[in-house]
Amino acid sequence: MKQRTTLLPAFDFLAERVSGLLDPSDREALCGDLAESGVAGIEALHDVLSLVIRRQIAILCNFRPWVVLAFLAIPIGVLLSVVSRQAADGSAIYLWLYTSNPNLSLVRMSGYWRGMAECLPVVLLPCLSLTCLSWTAGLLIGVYARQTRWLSGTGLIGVLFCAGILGLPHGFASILALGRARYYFGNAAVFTNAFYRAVYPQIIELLLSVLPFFYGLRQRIPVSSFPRSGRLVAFIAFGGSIGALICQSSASWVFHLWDHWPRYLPGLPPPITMASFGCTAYLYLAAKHSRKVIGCGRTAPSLIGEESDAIHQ
Amino acid sequence: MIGEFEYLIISATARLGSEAYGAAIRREIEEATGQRCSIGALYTTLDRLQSKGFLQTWMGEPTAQRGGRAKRMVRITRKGAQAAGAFYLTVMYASRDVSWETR
Repeated sequence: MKQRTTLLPAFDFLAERVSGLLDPSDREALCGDLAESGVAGIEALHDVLSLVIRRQIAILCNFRPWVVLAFLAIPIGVLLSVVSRQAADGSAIYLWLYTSNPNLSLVRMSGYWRGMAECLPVVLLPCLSLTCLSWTAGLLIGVYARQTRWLSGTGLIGVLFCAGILGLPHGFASILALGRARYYFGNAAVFTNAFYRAVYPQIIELLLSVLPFFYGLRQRIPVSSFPRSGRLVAFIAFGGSIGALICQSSASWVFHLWDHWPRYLPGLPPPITMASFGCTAYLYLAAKHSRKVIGCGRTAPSLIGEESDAIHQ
Repeated sequence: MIGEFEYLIISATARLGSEAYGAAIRREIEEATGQRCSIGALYTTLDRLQSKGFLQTWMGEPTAQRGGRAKRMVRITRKGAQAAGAFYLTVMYASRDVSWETR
């Protein structure tokens, strides 16, 4: 479809994008057939949709995507919403502090910069941790529901935003730290401002949860293409990160244990290290895998396609 | 017993021989029936026939005519030929002594 000049490029573009939902082998054969037949525009889109819809229905008739949605995507969405809210509320206080008191004379004071140096890790580390956790969540869901990424992704994002905007049911407060997540006490001045109370958490959720999650979900190099030992390492690392996500949500690590953990439990890795296990391991394994593939004289994408085919066969 | 669309696909595959692949089968069916053949229906039926063991498919070599894309080649199996033969005999038997001419 790419090489033809068409009268309806928008439909061709859509057809090209929608065909991305197909397996690589299906996509290759379908796009080749359409190019050979000279089918373009709305007719090509119709053909692609007819196959995509049939394939998706066949997949949805299976129990696996629903199990992944119910036991992985939705719980992780809830946990991410808690961590996201904690990160947003924690950073909102400092953001308010610095943006609401613009005074150039402060900048000349050494205390100002000392205070800034102290607050930066408190703001940035939870944000970095949230990004890593969301990315790992995307990677993990991409492994178990590669063909129904849209379903699991929509479910997780739906839960994330519903929990963020509407809040979780009261019963969750006893399990999760949601009750403590809104840190109003002593900071009412910050949260009376609608921006910090309602808009800023959604911005943080979008930038640090949704985008990294979708980036992870795409998996440029599928985990399934790693060698067996690499897959094992990846799953252990994902487990570490998801464990960190559970602890972070239920124990409210970010703001309460962040400083205390390394002091009282020096033997354990710091929380940010655990949160970054999943994506660090993936990046390392993907780089190693790409080097190996290119070193064999073949391009990485071609092998990815072949291996994906082999997996699906 | 196979269905009529499955029979059309197996017949087209048999007729095309080593040149049987998605687009060619689709053309054959459209010529035979005079109707548009949905590519979605074609590929899902190919999958079904393959899972039943009536057809084998594999990815062929990419060609410039197809924008560098590979073909999904199709080959009929002995079981597929038997199933198509049985369907044809059934239709022939069911149609005996029947005239479809209309005045």
